[in-house]
Amino acid sequence: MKNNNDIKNNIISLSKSLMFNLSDDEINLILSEYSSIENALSLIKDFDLSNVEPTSFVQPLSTINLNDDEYETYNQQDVFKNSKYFRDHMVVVNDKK
Amino acid sequence: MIRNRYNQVIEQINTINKSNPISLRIVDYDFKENKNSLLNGMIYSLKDNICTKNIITTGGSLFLSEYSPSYNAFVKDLLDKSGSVCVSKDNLDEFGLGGTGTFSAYGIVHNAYDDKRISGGSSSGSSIMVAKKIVDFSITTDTGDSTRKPASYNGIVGFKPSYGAISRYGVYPYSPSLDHVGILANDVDTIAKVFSAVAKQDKKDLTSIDLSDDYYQKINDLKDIKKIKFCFLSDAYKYMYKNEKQEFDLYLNFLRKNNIEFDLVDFNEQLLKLIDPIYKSISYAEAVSSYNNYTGILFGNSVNDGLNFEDIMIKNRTKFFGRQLKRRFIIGANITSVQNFENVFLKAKKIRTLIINRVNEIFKKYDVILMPGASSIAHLIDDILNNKISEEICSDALQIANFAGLPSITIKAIKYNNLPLGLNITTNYKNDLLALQVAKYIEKLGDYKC
Repeated sequence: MKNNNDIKNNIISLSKSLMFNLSDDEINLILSEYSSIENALSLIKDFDLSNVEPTSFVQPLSTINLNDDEYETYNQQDVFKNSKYFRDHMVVVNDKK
Repeated sequence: MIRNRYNQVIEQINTINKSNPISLRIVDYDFKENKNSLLNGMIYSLKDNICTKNIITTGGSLFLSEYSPSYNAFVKDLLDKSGSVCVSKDNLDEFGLGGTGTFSAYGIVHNAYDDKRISGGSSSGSSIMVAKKIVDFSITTDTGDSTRKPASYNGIVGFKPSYGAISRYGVYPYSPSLDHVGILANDVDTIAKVFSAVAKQDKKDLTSIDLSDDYYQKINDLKDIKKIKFCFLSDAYKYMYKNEKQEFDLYLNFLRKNNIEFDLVDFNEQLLKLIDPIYKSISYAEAVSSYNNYTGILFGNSVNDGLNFEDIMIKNRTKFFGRQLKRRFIIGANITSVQNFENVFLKAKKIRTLIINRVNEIFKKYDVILMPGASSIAHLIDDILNNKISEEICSDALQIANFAGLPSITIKAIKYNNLPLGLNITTNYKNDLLALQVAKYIEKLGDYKC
């Protein structure tokens, strides 16, 4: 049985791998639910599924391939308008002499 | 005339938004008449996880508070051609990850009947927009029950078609193997009209299937209701809240008196109890993958402060993701971690197979599965925020339709304490017409207490 410290360390380690930090409040919120989630998941672990195939999608995925000319293309300005980072760091080069 | 109605609707939205944040953005008037369309002149709204070209689409998240898509979702393009007018981008639980309407970055959405209660989610704003009759219909999403449960809580009609019937191109993904586009409206006729317009195959969505049909024209074609074989999920019903169940018993008698004869069928209680953990295992794990590209570098909000890309990314995700989202990501990452991958994630997908197998068994004998639209009437917001609600096995049964990709519609049924609770009708994969026809038949029966 994991103790609270182990679980807390596991949560922090997972948050690092997910590229975000958690506040103490957020960790406590997850901790409070952790045992009920673990219990629920143990129901899955106890299930005998030896001859059952997993389902990912309810139907086979289509293999239709779009031709290149069917893709819409967007210009650079259109795409960068949504990046605050790019907008703030863009160096505009004036190529008109 | 349509312009006048549009202006009235804007006024209504602005008034309601002061106390109940149902709309995140008003969409500029854009009406292209189509006299051949059933939707011509109708006013509608879109859940704000559906892309609209050059109109900010936040997903209910601070991460995309200024994100303006370069293209329309396929469903929006179809509606633009139908002569209908989009008026609002509606509030939702952040990126659709929530079932209560309390997890948006832009405020809690309150129930249409009682402002102390939840609207249900994640299609929270859309459900109120329809329940208050501000719009004729709303386009939503449904990964677990996000269209149908708010329909039950707010006394409206919520439809989730067969998996792939409405293209998801341009719809923010949450859990791609479970995500559906749905429709909310005040009556089944409107649902059928909208579905006829948007059920078109789309090559840009690899899960899209061709279910195009004239559903509205055929909706009254059900010749003899007595020939339809109904069953009612008795083991799910067992978990309905006691008082609501007493009232629902009266409703079931009313259905029987009106030629809806049904057998009581156990789905399989062991499987029913597993639906919630299976849903969490699959959807949270897929959500981690869906939102890995939210870095704030290429798109989205950025704190613009950090030592390097990694540092900026961590600061962005820390600041702009909500706590419910982070909670689900942690659980999803835990489930797909090395120690849990085979024992939990893979097993969850296998249990999904068992659920689908059980559904197929039922549909060998029956045409329609009936069940309550939720475990209870809408919960109090305080009870949700204080984690007082635990198991909801009766409501969880709605997720069977997502696991198996089945058409599923919730219509108005009973009122308990003056609050609505729906009836859910589910049919076999690709038998969307029957679901709509049965829903229409039952809707026409009117009030169960008259």
